[in-house]
Amino acid sequence: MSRAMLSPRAYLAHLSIYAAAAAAAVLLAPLFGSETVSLPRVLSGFSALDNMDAEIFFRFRLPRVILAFVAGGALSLSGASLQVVLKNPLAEPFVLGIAGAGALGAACAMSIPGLLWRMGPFTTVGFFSLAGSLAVTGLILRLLSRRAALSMSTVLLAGVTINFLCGAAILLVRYLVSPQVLVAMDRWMMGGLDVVGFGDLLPVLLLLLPGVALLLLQSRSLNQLAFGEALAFGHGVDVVSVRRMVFLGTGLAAAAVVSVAGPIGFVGLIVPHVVRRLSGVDQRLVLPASFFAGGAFLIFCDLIARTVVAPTEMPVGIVTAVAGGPVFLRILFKNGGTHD
Amino acid sequence: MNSARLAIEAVSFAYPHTGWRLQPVTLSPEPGRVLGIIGPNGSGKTTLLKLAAGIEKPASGRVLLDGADLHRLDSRRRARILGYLPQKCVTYLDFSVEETVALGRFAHGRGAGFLTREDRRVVDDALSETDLLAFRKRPVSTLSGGERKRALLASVLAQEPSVLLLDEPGAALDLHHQVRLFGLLQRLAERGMTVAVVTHDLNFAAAFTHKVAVMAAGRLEALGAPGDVLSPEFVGRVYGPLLSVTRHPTLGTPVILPAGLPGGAP
Repeated sequence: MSRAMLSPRAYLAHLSIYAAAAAAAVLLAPLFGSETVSLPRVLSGFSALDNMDAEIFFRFRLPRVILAFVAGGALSLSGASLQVVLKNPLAEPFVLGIAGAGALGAACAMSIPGLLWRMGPFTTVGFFSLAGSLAVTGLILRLLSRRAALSMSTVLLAGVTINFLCGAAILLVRYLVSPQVLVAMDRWMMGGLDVVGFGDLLPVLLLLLPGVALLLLQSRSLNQLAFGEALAFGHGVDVVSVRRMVFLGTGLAAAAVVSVAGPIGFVGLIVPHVVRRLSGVDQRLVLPASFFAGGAFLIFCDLIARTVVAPTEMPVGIVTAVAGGPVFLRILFKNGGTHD
Repeated sequence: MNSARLAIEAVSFAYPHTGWRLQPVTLSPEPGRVLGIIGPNGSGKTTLLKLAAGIEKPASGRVLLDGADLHRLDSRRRARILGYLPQKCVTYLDFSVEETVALGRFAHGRGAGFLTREDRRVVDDALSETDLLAFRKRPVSTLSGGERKRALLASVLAQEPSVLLLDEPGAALDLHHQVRLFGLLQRLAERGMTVAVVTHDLNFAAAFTHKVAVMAAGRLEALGAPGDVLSPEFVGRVYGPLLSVTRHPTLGTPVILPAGLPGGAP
């Protein structure tokens, strides 16, 4: 077994393939749905009055596809970063309690009478969810700043505990609310990418893009964690700062995704593993490639979600698990499952 | 190679949960010399090296690198002067050997960190020095423990440090590679590098270091040339009665051998 060092040429070649796949997904996915639209007709005119295809493509489907792309990309990128920082291949963006707290926030907003309102792209469900997720992110960052030597196992277990606590609180809320509210809560928990127009994307992008940028900037330092924090420190990495940036970036990105799309699972866990199997472990490539691959994967899952049972829709969270699970298992056991 | 001075000034440390304390230590490894740090288990060797590397912050005292407080130095600048190989390194990302060695160029690079021609020359030199050229494309996970340790040592050498701190670098190495390792350390010292190495192998420390610092129960017990320090009485006092000290037949350095088993069994 041998492996070549990542050269700028190989880096660009690999990344171009991932980017091209993502671009193709973004451009082609809006053509398909309960009603197929024609690309030449979409491009023939942009006025909604005389071009229904353009209206469907640009107003209804493209914003949704872009949301799927950035959400899937952000979750995968966060998962890839956290798996290195937490030294745990099972880490994913929601393991720190971010999704649990976001879900609790959303459940509270849905359960309190009179609290459900919307102003432009901003909703109280999204706002409460965001508040919950960001509160947990702030808690983790505060823990890290007070105890620089805090072990990553402790952070991981704290996150799992927060998830359990939030789960218990959500059960209590569910116990107290009416059946109609229960249905709305369940639907939210399954994840969805329903947005109309580009305006709905604004709140999510405001937090998601800074989070993504923060994570991508850590890629070179994350390579250094390959053999643990002590060697990385010796090589000149500010390990405490890298951890902080990864938790902050993950917190911002995951909170933004949860607030608008609910807790979409599985993407952040499997896509980084698939990318590492395909393109090696160099985080300078793995991180941006995970972003593109995760984005393309969620677009694909959303396409299935809105076409398989058309004219109605399936929650995208179900599709991510069903579509990704078998593929992931096949990759895992391709070499006999002995590869660590 | 530029020389750099590492000065450990009255540095003390305490582990909060165990109560174990390192009593104030003052020590200045000399440029151009190999310093062996030896002592029984739990005597404070690794803690002292971690303090010298900046991994741990002293409870009192300070560590100076070329006159500047180690903890105030920018981390990349520190790494261009001081290289540190920890005792334990677990593999989380399975890089190839040459990728692993290239990690040592972190403090010299900017941006995406792709290697320059100079970086490649340094990586090749480090692979050659550690006898790993034939393994360069192999994933680290396929190496033996000793080969892996050599790859990590090569990554520290690729930093081109002036001060080299190594924590049990020979622990997983066969005898041939242990001899090669200490030969390499001596060559690096001859080029002006300051080398401090924690080792449990008293015979290698006695034969191939210029000075030994002996730690015992959190104190610096002795500091001097191995031939002066490692007397039978001193070794017996620090390590207990089951060792005997003779002389190496050709090198003339102390040789420490087991004198028997507890209870007098043969």
